[in-house]
Amino acid sequence: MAQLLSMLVEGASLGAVYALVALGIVVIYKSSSVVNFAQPSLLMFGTYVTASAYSLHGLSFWVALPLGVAAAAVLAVLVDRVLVARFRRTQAVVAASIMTIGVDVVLLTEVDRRIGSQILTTGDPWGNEVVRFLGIGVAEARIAALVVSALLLVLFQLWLHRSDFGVAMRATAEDPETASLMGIRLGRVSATAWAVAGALAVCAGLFIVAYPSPGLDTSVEAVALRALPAAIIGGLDSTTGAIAGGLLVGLSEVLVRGYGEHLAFLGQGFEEAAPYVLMLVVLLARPAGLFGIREAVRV
Amino acid sequence: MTGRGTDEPLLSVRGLGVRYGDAVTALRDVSVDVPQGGIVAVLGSNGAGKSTLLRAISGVLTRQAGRMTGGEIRFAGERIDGVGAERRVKSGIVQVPEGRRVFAHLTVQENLRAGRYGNPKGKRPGDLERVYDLFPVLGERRSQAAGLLSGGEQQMLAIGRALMAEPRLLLLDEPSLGLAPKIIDRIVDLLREIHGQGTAMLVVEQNAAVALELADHAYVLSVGEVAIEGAAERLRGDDRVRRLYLGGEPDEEIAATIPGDVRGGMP
Ligand SMILES: Nc1ncnc2c1ncn2[C@@H]1O[C@H](COP(=O)(O)OP(=O)(O)OP(=O)(O)O)[C@@H](O)[C@H]1O
Ligand SMILES: [Mg+2]
Repeated sequence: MAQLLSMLVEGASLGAVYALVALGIVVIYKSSSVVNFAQPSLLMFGTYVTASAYSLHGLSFWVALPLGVAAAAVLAVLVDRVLVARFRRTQAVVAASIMTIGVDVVLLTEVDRRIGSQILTTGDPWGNEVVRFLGIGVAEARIAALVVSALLLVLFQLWLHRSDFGVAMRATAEDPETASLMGIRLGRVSATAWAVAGALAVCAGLFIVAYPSPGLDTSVEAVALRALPAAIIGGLDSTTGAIAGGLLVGLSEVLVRGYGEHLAFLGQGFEEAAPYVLMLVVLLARPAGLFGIREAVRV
Repeated sequence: MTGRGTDEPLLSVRGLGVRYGDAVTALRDVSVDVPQGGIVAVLGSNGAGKSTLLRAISGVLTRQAGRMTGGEIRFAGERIDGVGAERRVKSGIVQVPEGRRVFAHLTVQENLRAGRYGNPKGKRPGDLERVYDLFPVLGERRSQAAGLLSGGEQQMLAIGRALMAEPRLLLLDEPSLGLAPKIIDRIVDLLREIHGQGTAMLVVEQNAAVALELADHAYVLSVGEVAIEGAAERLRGDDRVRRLYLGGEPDEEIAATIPGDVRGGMP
């Protein structure tokens, strides 16, 4: 029982982190119908900026954090403005989406080259304390990830549903041509979505590399990639879906790993495949994802 | 911002040509004027190019792979055909698109807030209330999803949303489309009221009776060209217009006098 409870807490924590990354994919999709496959590389890039500012340049975490977040946001806006915007004029969203795969590969290669065989830490304030409650022990960093991510998710939803900019973004998601007839600047909506996506990815990245993970190394990108099935499971055009999808992926991963010995017939390391299997099952039943309206296959 | 002379039209379209892709020529050498504070109608059957004209004026052709091949568009004396859609809205040209196109998943109030984006003065106290005063039914439904409104209410919302930007020129694409006669009368009254408050209008219609009742001046578009132009009163009495657009018997001989008329021809 205690084991299950501790897995649920860990899974929820990991899931909330995936939700942050998935939310970035969803917000870009909603604002421009482009699927941003470069999200893992933005996460790696911003997290690398923060980790190297702390580990290699001796800056404090509270200086390194905004540096990494800002760097990823700026780079995301550049990708949007310089590369994706070219496709927007002609609505070539499939080509634009595939181009983001290229961005992802190029950027990951460069970040990997810089990381090399190092394991960089970010100097985050959670340390390696373990909190004990209800007979279980959970890393403080995992609790922090859950609390901070939940807070960011709530703030994001409030922003999207209450602010004028949120109204503009949802109007654009529904009907871009009419939105531009209303004087809404589609370029600005898209750039904002990319900036937010970049920033959210880095917040997630910092939690992924926190204790009990040893730090930032090149294996983190495989973890970041699981946000993609999370976004698709929830429905690419639903922010609620991104949160649900993130939680499902996080929980399934932790549970599959935890009950690994009972699932040995599925092979070693099945937890890495679990999110994708879950995605296939959900898509077979609901092609638009759990909360989606438009079918994901339409891209 | 204001025109140079009082006799200068508020909107002046000169020699406009528009193509979609490489093959489809939608407009050829179209010239249309809207005077300050006037109401001008553009009539034409399906595929005549009415929506294309409004898209060109609003600057949203590129989304449909369309582009201007010639001519110029001036608003209050300034060339606007090179500037982005949002600048045109800010300068005072706001469109109510064909088929209303309300944001169905947004609430009525959120639709109006989206319309406020084009207001050059930004957000101002009571701006929502002004629209609710004009359309009380929208006020009652303010927190309902716009997709749940009836067709007539959606048309009111589409007009109210455009008014949030405080336009000097309202472009209306078939405001009577799919509405019952009673509701059409109501919309016409409301448009008169809005016009009375100083907003010029360019109304595109297939329903010539509605358009000619509202407008001072009218154009008839046929296969991308202006076929007839004149005072609305004169067009109401024009045989060709009566027969083609006011429900008279289609007369092949008269139809033939309108270059390339395509009634029933193209899909
Ligand atoms: N996106 C597009 N791509 C290619 N051709 C188009 C496009 N939109 C319109 N057309 C063509 O341009 C011509 C004019 O179309 P437009 O929509 O302006 O006509 P309309 O007068 O508004 O017709 P309706 O009364 O049916 O709304 C038509 O021949 C139409 O097929
Ligand atoms: Mg039309």
